[in-house]
Amino acid sequence: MKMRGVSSSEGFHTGRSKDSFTMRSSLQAVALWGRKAPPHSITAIMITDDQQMIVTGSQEGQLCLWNLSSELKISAKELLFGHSASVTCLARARDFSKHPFVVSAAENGEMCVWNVTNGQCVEKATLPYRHTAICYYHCSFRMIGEGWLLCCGEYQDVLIIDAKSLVIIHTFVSSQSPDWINCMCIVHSMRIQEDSLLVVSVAGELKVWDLSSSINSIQEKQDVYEKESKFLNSLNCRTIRFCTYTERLLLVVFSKCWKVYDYCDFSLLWTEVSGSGQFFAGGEVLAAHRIIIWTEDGHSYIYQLLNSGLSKSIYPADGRVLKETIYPHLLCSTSVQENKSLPFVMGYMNERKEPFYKVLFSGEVSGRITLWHIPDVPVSKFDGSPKEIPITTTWTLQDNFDKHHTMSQSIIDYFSGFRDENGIVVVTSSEYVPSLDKLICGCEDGTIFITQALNAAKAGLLEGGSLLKDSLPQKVLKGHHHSVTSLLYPHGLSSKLDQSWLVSGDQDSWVILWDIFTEEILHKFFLQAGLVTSLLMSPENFKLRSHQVICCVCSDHSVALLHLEGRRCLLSARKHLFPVKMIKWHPVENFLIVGCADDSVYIWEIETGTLERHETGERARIILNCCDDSQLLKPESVLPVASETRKHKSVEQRSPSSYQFGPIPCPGLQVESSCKVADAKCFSGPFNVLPVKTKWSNIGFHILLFDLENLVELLLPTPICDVDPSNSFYGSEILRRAKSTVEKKTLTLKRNKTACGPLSVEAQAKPVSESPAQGENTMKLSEENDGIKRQKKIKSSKKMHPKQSRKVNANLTIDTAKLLLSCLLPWGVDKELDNLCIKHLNILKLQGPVSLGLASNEDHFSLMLPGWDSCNAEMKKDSSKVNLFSRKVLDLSNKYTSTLPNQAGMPRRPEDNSDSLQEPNTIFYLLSKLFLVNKLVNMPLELACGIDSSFTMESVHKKMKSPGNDILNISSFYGYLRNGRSESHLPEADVSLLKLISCWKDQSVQVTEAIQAVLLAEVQQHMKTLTKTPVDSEPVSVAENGDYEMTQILPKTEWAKEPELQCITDTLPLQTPVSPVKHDSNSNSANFQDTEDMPDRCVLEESENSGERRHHLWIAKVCSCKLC
Amino acid sequence: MDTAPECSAPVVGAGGMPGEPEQAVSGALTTSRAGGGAGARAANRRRGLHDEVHAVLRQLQDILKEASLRFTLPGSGTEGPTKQENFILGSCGTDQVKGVLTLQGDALSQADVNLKMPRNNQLLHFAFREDKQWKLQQIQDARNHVSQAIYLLANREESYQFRTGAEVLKLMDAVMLQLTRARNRLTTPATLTLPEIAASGLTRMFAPALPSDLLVNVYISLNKLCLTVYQLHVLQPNSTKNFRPAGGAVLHSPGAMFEWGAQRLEVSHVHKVECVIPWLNDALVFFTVSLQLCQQLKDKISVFSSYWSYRPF
Repeated sequence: MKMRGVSSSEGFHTGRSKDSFTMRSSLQAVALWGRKAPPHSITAIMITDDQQMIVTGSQEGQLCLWNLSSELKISAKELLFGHSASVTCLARARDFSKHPFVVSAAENGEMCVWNVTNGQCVEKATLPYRHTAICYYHCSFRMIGEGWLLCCGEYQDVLIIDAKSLVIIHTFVSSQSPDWINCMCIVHSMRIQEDSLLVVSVAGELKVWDLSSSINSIQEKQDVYEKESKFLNSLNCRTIRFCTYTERLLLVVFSKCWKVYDYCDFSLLWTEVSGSGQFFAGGEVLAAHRIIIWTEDGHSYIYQLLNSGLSKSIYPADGRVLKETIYPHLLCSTSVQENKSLPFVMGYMNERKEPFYKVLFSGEVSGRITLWHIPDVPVSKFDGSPKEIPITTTWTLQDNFDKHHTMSQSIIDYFSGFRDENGIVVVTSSEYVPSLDKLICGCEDGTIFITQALNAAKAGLLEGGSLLKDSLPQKVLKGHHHSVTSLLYPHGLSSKLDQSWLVSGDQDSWVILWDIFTEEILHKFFLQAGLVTSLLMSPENFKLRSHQVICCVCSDHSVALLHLEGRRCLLSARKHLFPVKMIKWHPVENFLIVGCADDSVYIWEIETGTLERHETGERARIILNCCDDSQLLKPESVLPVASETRKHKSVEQRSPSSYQFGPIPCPGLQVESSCKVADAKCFSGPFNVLPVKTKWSNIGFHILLFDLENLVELLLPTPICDVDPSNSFYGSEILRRAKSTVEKKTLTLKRNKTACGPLSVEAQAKPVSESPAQGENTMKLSEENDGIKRQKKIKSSKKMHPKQSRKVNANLTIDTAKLLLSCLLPWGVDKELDNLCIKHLNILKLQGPVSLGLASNEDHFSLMLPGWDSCNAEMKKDSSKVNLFSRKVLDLSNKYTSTLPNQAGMPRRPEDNSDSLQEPNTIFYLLSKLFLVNKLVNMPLELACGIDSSFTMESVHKKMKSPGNDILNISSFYGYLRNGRSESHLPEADVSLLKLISCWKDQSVQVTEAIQAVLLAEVQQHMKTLTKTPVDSEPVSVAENGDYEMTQILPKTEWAKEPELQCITDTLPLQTPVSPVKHDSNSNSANFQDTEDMPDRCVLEESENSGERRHHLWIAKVCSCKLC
Repeated sequence: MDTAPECSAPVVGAGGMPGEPEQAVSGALTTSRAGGGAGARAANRRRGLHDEVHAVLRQLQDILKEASLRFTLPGSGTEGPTKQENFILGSCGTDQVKGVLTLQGDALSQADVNLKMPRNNQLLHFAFREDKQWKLQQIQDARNHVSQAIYLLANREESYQFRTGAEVLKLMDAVMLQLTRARNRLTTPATLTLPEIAASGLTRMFAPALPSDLLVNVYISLNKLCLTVYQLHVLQPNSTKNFRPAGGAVLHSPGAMFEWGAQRLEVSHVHKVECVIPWLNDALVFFTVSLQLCQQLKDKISVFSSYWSYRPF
């Protein structure tokens, strides 16, 4: 899959740049799928050992988890993103009853272990080897660790990879004619009490290694050579299987024949040649003397292997051992319906235990899964002719989308109001402009819609959102006559460019420059070069006549440079024979360097438009590598393979020729590093829309991203600044901290050079309180600034932005928060609660269960598919519209409620019950809770334990707490919130909850489940108090007015019910404790600043597995600051 | 194959002028929408594309089969031992190193290396042990990649009906991936560090064992079989030279240092001799041609948006 406007060709995770689309832990993602399912061309398929799930891998690089019911009904559950190339094989990675782990390997050497019950990536690695088959092997009494993954593929011999860490342990080497291995199987023979590994090489050589007896040698890194080998005299081996029932026969399936061998001496017993045009793909032993063989085109045949009987009577004349011969008799066959697409990947699951079935399964390139239930004793018809076994189930992703179409809303569905025909507009390209909160969609018919993204999302997701549809302000740009294939918003990449400009390219080679505010066409360029596949902009350091230029890559592999200010085409480079995969700029020499998919490089002189140089091979590589700073990797629908090869190659280069498997540095793939595009629009603000386009098709979908952290941040400081100037010290304190975190964030974004440069400069220029500067990150805050700036700068945008007051932003933030809550609330569980939520929180109900995303690390995450809710087998059948992430949520929620201290519900607020006032507070409170939970669950396990150790310190602190400390408490709470890390000043009540949540973590509760559980519990609590409030609203007096602001900001403190706080806030003016506090908070903030960096870094390093070491450092740090 | 039967508009070829793709695209667009008369035209076009795709696939197969013949696949029809070819390796400059290598398929079966020591003009001679062969993994990998590509193409016979353009694109991508890898295996030799070369089995292949101050490496670079001989000398522990181990390289230069065993060694002389393997040259040409064919087919298909999109065509 590829993302529009994204640096890299493939996929999701390489997209945009590492930092931007890493699903940060505080990001919540919601997918708006649309009506069309994304393509999923199945390349690998397996059924889990518990027969409850089908796992498929696709050419697009995603894995799909399908629920398999006990009646053998299939329903797609979620898509797993993480691989950037085609998936080559899948295999079990652990003892499935203990850990439901599956390993997947991709075309480019990526390997990933997934927990298939929750879709999380457990481990990942990229090795310079492409695997085509993986077998899990574990021998509990001799082996240390979690077992081995025995891998074969496009390299010599068999690699042994540690199943837990995915590190290469050793290799099984061949002493004779080492070659690639096509297939393998593990033989557990009870008779000889030895496990063996049987493999067949591409040249058709059968080799046998001892497994169990060589475990020690392998662990000691000694070379283990094959025990036996035999030339089988056929090519393209597909499968090798050992008959465990007879412990005698060996089935070897080649593409043009299958053979049966005697395992004892590898003598050939039978050869069956395929019919014309038929290719065998695999096979399995069903029972003693009964086998099933399947073909590339989806047929399968079940044979009984009959004893010829001859051998029994005739003794061989030459005195050799008695040889029985066998011949096959066809019993049954299966076939698929019409419309098949090659090739099929099939498998067979043989389970003899009762609740399980014998299942033959197949996956097609079209994405269809078909199951056949194979009878325990397959028999032929009475007349002896083969019987056809009917298809039991067949299913595709699209079926899921059709069945649950309420859930498969698309972000632009409401456009259908404007259409007559079919009601569907196919969006062929889209772009989100965070600074304007606009979503720009180019459609198949050439129109371009510009709409408010948040409203569009609401209209798509929420009930009653349909009311919004008509009122949605939107613009329609008409100028293209054909499908709009690419969009670019230049201002998003460089703030120096006009904010009103939009560039769009269509199928017809037209590129139009628009003024999006006046909806005028400013200029039309005709490139005469086929479909405009992508629009890019030169980096900031590259200027031509003091302007940046637009680079258009077209489907005829040409590249055109457009000068927007001059309204002219500068260069049209048309010599490229292969798709353009990389564009680099040489600012000094004024060169455009174009890298093509065939690894050749073209250097164009921009001024004269002449081809300066053309290089291939090693030279080309050097040229591309040497101008690393100024580059744009270009996306194109066709290029993934190409850039993939580059990856692979770069990997190969590094591997010291494959006969050595020494310590190979894990190759940091070139493509990733080259993705640090001039990509200023990295994720910013609390809300973002990510358009995703799929490889090899024009089907796209959108992902809504909510940044919990940012939301909480934005909801928090606003009232302080506005309302309480007296407490400015406090406010600025927070701002300062906000700033420091943000700066730190900017640091982490440093890789994104272009992104941070100008912004930080601006930041310094402004007074601190005003300098939300952090522009990129706390964007909303800075909008006010921005607005002014813009007005000064850009006249044309005046109309559009009369003012960007904080109020507007606050509303936007609140709306975002509400939408997020809507998505997370378990609608439909409790009707009464639903109504209360709608009434008191003023949020809208979901139309149907929402497709949530769950990130397991920076670039591995899962997205639920429409209909995921029906996959929870335990759910009631009628509850199709319940947005409950899992059954577990209710239990968790109850547990959580029971841990809540009595009465301690929401922040008590001035109970005049004016919804308008309390609603934001409640929302803020809920969100901060969610954020906390999110952080806690995402924290590395060791850190979570660390919390415990800090609890003890806490009591000490409690004692020395001075009255003034509550402010400190606040800030610590805030810091706590922000960093998800236990500060010294934890309110007592939190402790049990923290423990509970970290305990959830151990029970492998997913973040989403935890979040929903906590949300449910909190909302229930809240609603309980609400229903009570009319009665006991009296006691809270006007005296609390002074306390009001505090309550707003300090829900937690309130909630923790500290008596001191009550009296202080009531009696003392807030300023009084300033001096003691100031001291405290200063020292404290100093601590903050040291420690503040830590959590994020921790998060970063989580993925690098260095958690433990870091953790100790970290704890030391926490402890030391507690004592001071 | 240059004449698309149904599409009158010139196809956007590789690098060529795109002519009027507008027309082709719009045509494809309307057919995908409208029915009636356009339907018949669409059917025609579909048939045309079907024929065309299969024509290209057949052509590709022929070329690749030809390429794989060059690699003399063992077991595929050619009975008996694969034939041996002798290559005399030399360099145009000096004649200090001469090598005669015998290639049998993807393995070096014999090697004779003559080395004239620069200092004393002493002549050294090494040969492979009789019982051993040295696999040239680059050739083996390239060969295997080609047969993978052939296999991908083989099961799409004439009767097979591609349902979407995307399906063709995916097939082409898969084939191109294999071909690119095959080509890259030949064009980019492994970069090895000196200890890796020292540890490699190749040094143990010689009958009078190689003296400890010599390293030998054999690899393929493009169409050439290359032999490099490194002469080493031991760096004295008290040497004033700044010891810095050299990284990986295809060809190390004099002065490169490394640590082997307990010793620190430095490369004093490098001799590189090479010889063109004609059939490797052919194979590379075949790879390039088939890659271009694949790309042209992809371009052609991409032009038709009905093909390009996921709709069945």
